[in-house]
Amino acid sequence: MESSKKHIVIIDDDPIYQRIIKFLAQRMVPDYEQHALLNAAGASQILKKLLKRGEQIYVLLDLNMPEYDGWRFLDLTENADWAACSQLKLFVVSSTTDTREIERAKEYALVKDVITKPFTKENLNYILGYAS
Amino acid sequence: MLSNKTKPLNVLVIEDNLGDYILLEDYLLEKNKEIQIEHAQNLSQAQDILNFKLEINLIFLDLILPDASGIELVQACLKMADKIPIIILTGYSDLHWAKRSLQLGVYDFLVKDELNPNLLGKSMAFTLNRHFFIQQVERERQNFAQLFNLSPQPMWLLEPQKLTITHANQAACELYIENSKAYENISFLALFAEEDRVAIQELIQMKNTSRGQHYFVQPNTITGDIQVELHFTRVPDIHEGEAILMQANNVTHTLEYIKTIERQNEKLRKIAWDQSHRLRAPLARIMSIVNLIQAHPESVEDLVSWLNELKYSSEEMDAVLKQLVNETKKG
Repeated sequence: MESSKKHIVIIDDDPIYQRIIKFLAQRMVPDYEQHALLNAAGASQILKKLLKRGEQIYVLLDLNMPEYDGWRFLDLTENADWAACSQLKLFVVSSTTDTREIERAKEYALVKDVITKPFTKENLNYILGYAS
Repeated sequence: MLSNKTKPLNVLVIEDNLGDYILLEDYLLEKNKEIQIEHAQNLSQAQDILNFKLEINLIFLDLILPDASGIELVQACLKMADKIPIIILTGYSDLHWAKRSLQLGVYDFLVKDELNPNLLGKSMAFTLNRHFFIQQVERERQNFAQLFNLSPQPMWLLEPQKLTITHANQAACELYIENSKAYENISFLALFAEEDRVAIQELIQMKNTSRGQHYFVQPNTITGDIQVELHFTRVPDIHEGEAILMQANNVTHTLEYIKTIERQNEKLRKIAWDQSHRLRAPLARIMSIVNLIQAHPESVEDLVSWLNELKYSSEEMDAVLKQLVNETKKG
């Protein structure tokens, strides 16, 4: 039985997206705990902590952010032992329409899928319902 | 020409036998009352008449004169007459000379014993008509020669096997070599960069029939290397049998323009790409917010602040567009 907590981790430098996703999540899954990060720098620490507790995590990762961006996070996390577990489901959420960037992001085994902004409640539904 | 009523026909009769002359004169006048007849008894008199009387249309020449006869006489008279057509008057005994002189450029010969006004009139008419057409062809030939020589486009005539330059027009001389003498007996290929020569040879020999563009480099110390497009056609040539008429179209500037345009296109493409990327961020944000408001109209408690976000994002889009316009203006 799934008694443990579930988490949504939003890594995006745009506060409006933070607000949008928060708004949608509060209405769809009010019991999920939300974590908002404006860049990817502190992300791995938070994820590691939550994973230790064996809790389910959905990560929404933006790619182009100042300083510590999504690419850097993916490069460093891709082969990390702690990230290889089924509780972690990572989605890239970006406003890019560049097919080369999208393909590149999909090449990471860690990335379940790439969502192109605008971000809607259908997107969140898709992410939270993602099996395997 | 014969129907030209305004100008009477002028003929010169070179004949030392007075009886023969009078007979011919009668026949001539019988056919044409307006005819003007000059009479010379020998070659030197004929020369005087030709020197002073400019408009002789036709010469009758007896084959035996006191100061010359036979083929020698025909050759001297042809030289003297320049382009005036000659009809020979001959007896049966000199027919072999008469026949040979046709090859030298005489128009016709008449046997004196067979002469009558009709035969004479017919021979004159044929001669004058033929002369008229030959002159016309010659004028056209000269026009074409001028067209070749004075064309602003560099042109050459080439011998088809070795591609030796036999003629170069003025434009070709001015552009490539200072005078046409320097062109004599050099190969057309020598005007081009070594690495292009085989390709040009193949193009001319039709080995390379691909319809791609053919640009070739001509090293040029005066103007700097130029790039040309070659066009050629095979033309009949009296001496060689066939010649190649070659034209070079200087495309150096055109190619430079194309390069410049391509560079600008590349730059515009980059600007468009960069800016559309930057435009996409606020646009996606606006779409997300609108979507959110539509999906939860009842629970949007803070509509004013969402509207502010919309305003902020549309202003950002506007700023990106302004920058796009500015960057494209920089050229």
